[in-house]
Amino acid sequence: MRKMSGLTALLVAMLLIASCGKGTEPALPGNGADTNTPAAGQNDEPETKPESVTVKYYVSDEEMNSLIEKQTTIEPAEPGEVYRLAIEALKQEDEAAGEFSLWKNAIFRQVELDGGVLTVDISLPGEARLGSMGESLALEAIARSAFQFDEVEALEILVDGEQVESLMGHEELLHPIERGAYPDDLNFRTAQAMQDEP
Amino acid sequence: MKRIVALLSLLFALIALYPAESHAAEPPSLYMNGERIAEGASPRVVNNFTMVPIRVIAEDIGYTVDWTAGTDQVRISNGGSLIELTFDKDTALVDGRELKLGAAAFVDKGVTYVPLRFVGEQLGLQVYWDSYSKSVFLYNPQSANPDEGDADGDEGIGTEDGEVKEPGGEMPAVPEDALAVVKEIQFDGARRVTVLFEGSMTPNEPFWSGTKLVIDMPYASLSPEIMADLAARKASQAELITDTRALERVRYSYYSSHPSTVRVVFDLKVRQDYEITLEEGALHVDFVLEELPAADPNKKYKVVIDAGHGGEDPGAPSVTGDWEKTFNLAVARKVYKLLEQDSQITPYMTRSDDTYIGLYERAGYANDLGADLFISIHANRYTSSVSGVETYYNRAESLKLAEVLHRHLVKATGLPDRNVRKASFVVIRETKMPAVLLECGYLSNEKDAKLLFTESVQDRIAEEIVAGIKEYLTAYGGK
Repeated sequence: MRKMSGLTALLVAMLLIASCGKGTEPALPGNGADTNTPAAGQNDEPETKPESVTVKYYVSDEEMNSLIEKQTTIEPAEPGEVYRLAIEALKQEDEAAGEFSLWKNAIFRQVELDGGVLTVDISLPGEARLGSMGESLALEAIARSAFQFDEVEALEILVDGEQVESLMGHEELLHPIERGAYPDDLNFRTAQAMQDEP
Repeated sequence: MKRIVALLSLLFALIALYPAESHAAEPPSLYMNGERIAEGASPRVVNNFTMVPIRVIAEDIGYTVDWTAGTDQVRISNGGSLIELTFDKDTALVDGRELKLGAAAFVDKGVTYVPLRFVGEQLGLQVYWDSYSKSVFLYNPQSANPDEGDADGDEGIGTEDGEVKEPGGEMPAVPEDALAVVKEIQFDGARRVTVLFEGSMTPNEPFWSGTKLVIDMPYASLSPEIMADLAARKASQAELITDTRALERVRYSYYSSHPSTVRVVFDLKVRQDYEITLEEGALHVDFVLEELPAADPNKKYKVVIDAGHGGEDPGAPSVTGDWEKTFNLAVARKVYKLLEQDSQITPYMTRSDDTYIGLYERAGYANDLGADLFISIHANRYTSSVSGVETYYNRAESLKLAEVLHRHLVKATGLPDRNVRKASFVVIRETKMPAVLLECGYLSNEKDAKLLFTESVQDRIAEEIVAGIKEYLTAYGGK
C-alpha cells in the first residue's frame, strides 16, 4: 500500500495530539490508583457520613473509535459501595460532548469485592448488546474501571449469575480478567494495530 | 483544431455510469477534463443526490459566480445566460425560467453545493460518476473551442461531430501543452510494464476502479504515430495484450485535451500491490503477482460461512424491530446457496438454523474441516448516528482476504467505508485459515437497518461476498 506511510504518520500525529491534550486535564487518581485510593476499603469501621471520592470511568467517542477517560465524584454510603458506584459510573454519558456510554442499558445486578476479586454480575437486555467493536471497548472500559483500585486483583464478570464464554458473542470473556489485561496506555489498541500493519 | 469528442466513448468504457449512490473506498474527488479540481471541496452524497461544489466548476468553464454576503442567493453567469440559485430551495431560475433541481442547494463552510445533474444539464457538461472512487468526472465538450485561444490548425484526431477523421491526411501534431510524448508501452512478459516517452513526465497518483488500475499522465500526449494509427483504425484507445493470468491487458489513450492527458489502464484479474519507478524516458510499473495460482479444475476449496450469534444470543437489536441473528443467518444462507453453485467450492455453515454455537466451537469446526476460508457475518450496533461497514481480521494471513471482502461489502451496501480493522474476536483469532468478521452495517442506524433487512440488499451483499471469495481464491488460492 503506497499510501500507508502517510496514513501512519497522520495517525501518529493524531495520537500525539491526543496525548498532549491529556496533560492539560486536572490530575487524575493515578494509574491504577495510588494515594487517592478510596479510604473506605481500608478502614475497619464504616465512615459515619458519606465521603466523596473521585473515580475514573470510560466512555467512547461519537465514531466508537476508542475509549475516553473521564472522572466523576461519588459518595459511597458504606465502604464496599465505592466499587458499585464506580461501575455504575460507566453509564454516564454526555452526548453533546461526544461522550457515549458503552454500558448505558446494562443492569449491574451485583458488584462485590472479595479477596481481591471484584465480581460484577450483569444482565444484558437486548438494547445493551453492541456490535463486535462495541463489546470489545465495553469490556476494556469495565476492566479499566475495576483496576483503578489497587486492591482489585481480578475482575469476574457474570451474566445473570453464570460464567459465560462471551458477553455479546464476539470477544472471549476470561474468568477472571486479571489485572494487567489492559496496559496503562489508553491508546494501546490503536498503537498496536498500527504496529502490526504490514 | 483538436476535437476529442470521440474520446467520450472511452470515458464511458472506463467509468461505470452509476446513479447517485455512494460506495467509496477512496476520498471522493472532482475532476474536470481529467484533472483534479476543488481539492478542499469533495463531491458528497446527500439523500441519494450527488452534490458538487458549483463555484469551482462554473469558474473553470468561464462563468462568474456571485454571492452577496447576507443573502441566500447565488448568481452564476457567463454574459449569455444567468442562473440564480437560492439556498435550501430545490428550484433555480435559469434566464428567469424556473427549473427543478431535484435537491436543494446548500452552503457548507463557505462552499455552495448543487446537484450534479443540474451542473451537467445547465452548464452543458458531460457528467460521469465513478462508483468506486466516489468521484465525479466532468468533461467540457467546449474546452477545445477555437474561442479559447488554442488556434493552431486542424490536425486533430476527431472531428466536430464526433466522427474520427478518415486516414490519409497529414500526421497529427503533438499538442502544444504536452511536455511528454508517449512513444510505446512494453511488457516484459512477467510483472513489469514500461511506458517509454520523450520529455518530462509527472504522472498523477494512480487510482483503482474495481480491479483496474488507472494512471493519468497530465501534460502528455501520444506520439503522432500512435495517434495516426488510432485514427486509421477509428479506435479511441490502443491496447497491449499481456495475457498473463494476473494482467490481461494494458490500454492507453489520449484521454483529454484540457490539459493534454494520457490515460493508461491496467486490466488486472485482482487488485494487487505495485511499485512505480520513474526514470529518464521510462516509467515502470511493477506488479507483485507474476502469475496467479495455477488453476486446477480438480481443486475444491472449503469455505466456512459463520452466521454470528443465534438461539439465546440474539446479537444486537435493530431499530426495525428485528434481531441481528436473523440478518446474519439470512445472508449466510444466501452466500451458502450461491457458493454451492460453484464446482470448485464446497461451502459449510457453522449454523443453519436459529441455535447458539459457542465461539470456540465455531472456530474448531472450521479447523477440523481444514477449511480454506472462514467468513463470519455480523451486523453492528452503537448510536443512531454511526453508519457504515467494517471488516475485522486478526492474523496477518487474513489481511488480504479482509481487504478484498471489505471492498465488495462497501460496494454491496453503498454505506460509508469504516475500514478494515484488527481485533481479537474469538472466531477470527482461533481459526487456522484466513478468517474475517464482516460488520455489514449499524442496526442502530435507521438507514443502515432498513437496508440490511431489505431482501434485495441481502441478495446483493451475498453476491458481493461470493464475488470477493472468488476473487480472493483466484488471486491467492486456498490455505
